[in-house]
Amino acid sequence: MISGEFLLILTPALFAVLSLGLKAIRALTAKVPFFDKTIITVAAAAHLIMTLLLPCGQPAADVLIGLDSLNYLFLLILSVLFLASALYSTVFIKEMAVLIREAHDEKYNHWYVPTMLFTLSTLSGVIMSRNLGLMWVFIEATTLSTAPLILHHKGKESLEAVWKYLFICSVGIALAFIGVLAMTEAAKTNPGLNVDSLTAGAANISPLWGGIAFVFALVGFGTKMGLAPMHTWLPDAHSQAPSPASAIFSGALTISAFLCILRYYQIFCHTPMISFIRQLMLILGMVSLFISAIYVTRAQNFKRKLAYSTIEHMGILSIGMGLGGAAVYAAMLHTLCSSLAKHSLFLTSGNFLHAYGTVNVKEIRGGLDRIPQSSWLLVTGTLALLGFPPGALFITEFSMLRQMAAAGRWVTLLMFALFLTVIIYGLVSAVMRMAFSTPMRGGAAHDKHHEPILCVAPQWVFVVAAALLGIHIPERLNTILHQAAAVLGGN
Amino acid sequence: MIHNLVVVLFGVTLLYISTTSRLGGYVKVLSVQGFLLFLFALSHAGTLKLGHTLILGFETLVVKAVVTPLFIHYIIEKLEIKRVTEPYVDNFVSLIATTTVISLSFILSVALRNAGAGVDVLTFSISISAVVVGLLIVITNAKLITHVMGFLVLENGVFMMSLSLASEVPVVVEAGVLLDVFMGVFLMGIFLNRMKSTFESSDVTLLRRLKD
Repeated sequence: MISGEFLLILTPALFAVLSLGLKAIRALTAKVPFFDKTIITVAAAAHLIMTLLLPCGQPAADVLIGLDSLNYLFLLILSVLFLASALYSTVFIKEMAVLIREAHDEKYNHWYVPTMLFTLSTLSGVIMSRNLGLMWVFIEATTLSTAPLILHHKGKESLEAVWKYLFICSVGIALAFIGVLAMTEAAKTNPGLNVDSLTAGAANISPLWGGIAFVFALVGFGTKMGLAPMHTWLPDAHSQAPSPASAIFSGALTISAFLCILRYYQIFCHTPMISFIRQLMLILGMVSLFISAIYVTRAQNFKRKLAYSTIEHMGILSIGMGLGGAAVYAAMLHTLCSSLAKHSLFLTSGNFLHAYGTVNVKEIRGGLDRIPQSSWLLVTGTLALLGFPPGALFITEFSMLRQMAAAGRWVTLLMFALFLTVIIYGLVSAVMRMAFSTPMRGGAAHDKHHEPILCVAPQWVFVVAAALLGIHIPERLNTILHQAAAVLGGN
Repeated sequence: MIHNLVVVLFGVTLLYISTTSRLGGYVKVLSVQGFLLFLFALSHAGTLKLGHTLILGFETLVVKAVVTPLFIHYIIEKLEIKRVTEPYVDNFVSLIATTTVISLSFILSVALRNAGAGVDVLTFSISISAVVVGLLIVITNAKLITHVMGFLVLENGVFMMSLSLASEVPVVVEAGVLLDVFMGVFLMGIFLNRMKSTFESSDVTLLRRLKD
């Protein structure tokens, strides 16, 4: 019998094949955009419905894929974000089709929908894997399935970005494989590489090899997650992919790699090694915040600014795990809410690109006159992302600060606050300029630009959700968050 | 005996690759490394089932020793890539660096063994060295095609390590073979996009359009 979890991986892949198959039929060429729109929406909706129907108890022993509270949370994030990207994509696909009809030189990208769906399939695989080896295979698959999305515009910059992405990530993935090897050596008595049995038998794992395994896993998957100093591919790749795809990169791809690191963290969370692991994560997190603080103010391309802000949030997650205790719960909530906020900002940046033909901060003026809805989204989304109250990110960052103070880590606290302040300045000044400045004279038209409902509605939902979660967290979600933190030895 | 000889020869190829400045030399070294890994895999054949031995034999002898070097050679000819490697550092410096890497790997492995980790010092240190030397090749060379060859040296190191650490779990070793998919994508990418013409020459110094 095929399990529900397996269907979650299989279904998007089947829809992708269907999309490719329909394109092979000559007679249907004119209908391709319509089919693509339908397929991506139906697949995304089906994925979300199946996710909501799946139970998230304790999976049976030694299964390859299965859901506990921790990966259920991540799967839920992926599913919701993908639905938003899919709805946004319907407008994006329509515009690609219009461009062809008007005989512009741009071609309809036949690979867009299939690669998005393959990405959904492989990401579901990464998230649901309960076996370290299988998880590694899926991470490699995500790298390959996302590459065509970065190559979307087919220019020199895209080629450069995709080369950097593939090369740096493949070196990272090779290093992560050494982590898997070290784990097989560490747990000689327990060679199945199953996360649950490794966690249960953590006392028998050789600390020496276990330490090596974690270091390689952290560096390897950290590359994919975007932790500095292995982050150099991330701003290029995120700025080159079309907005609905880069939103998925920033919101779901990075946190899937984070989950891989968490699985190694989980194995050791009740052993004495955890203090060493926490120290490492704290250091890498702080380096990421530092790099992000430097570059977020310097970058002129707004999507690159957002990419550096992604690095910032990965750093915060890493710091949260490094602090342990109550900060683990904060990191879980932070994962959820920062994904929602980042995703909505990346989608909104697509609206600016459409209206102005650029995302360069210096060339965008008077957004409030031209695209009022997107501009308000930009402002509120940025405030939510930066942790202004009442947004949930305020709560999470505040509880991390409190944890630092309680543990007497004053230097960490000072650096954390300083870097965050710089990042807030870098993003807010750019956003204010884009939204509230007076329009350039004789520049891009002052008149209103049409904003389709599907290009703003998903973001409003996410921004409002990120704000409301700071005030009240629904009971069921809160249970999942607490259980996820408990899996990782936090509370 | 044969096992140790193969590993030592593999170490020698690492020293050779750091002194050569011809792309052709790199390609030959990759082919030799593939053949050595084949012998290395054969020396583990006793612990593996027939099916696994066949897969690993095919991977090393056909993919690593023959097909990949031939394809790289074909790309170099077809795209008329200049035959020198254009490293940023002197051959002498890179030889010293490689020697240092190998020595440090031995020190690390011995330290690991003394700390109680059951580890085959020779194999472990040579495979770790291959990983680091591969990274060094990537860092110290300008050409994209040399980067791919550096990645292949790294991958060969990972393969050797996987056989020595995880030969009792052959599925894991075979999963590692999937890294070759990347290698294929890189080579196809260079070939199909004629990376030389796209970046004017296939030179990473021109990969500077995207920056802050």
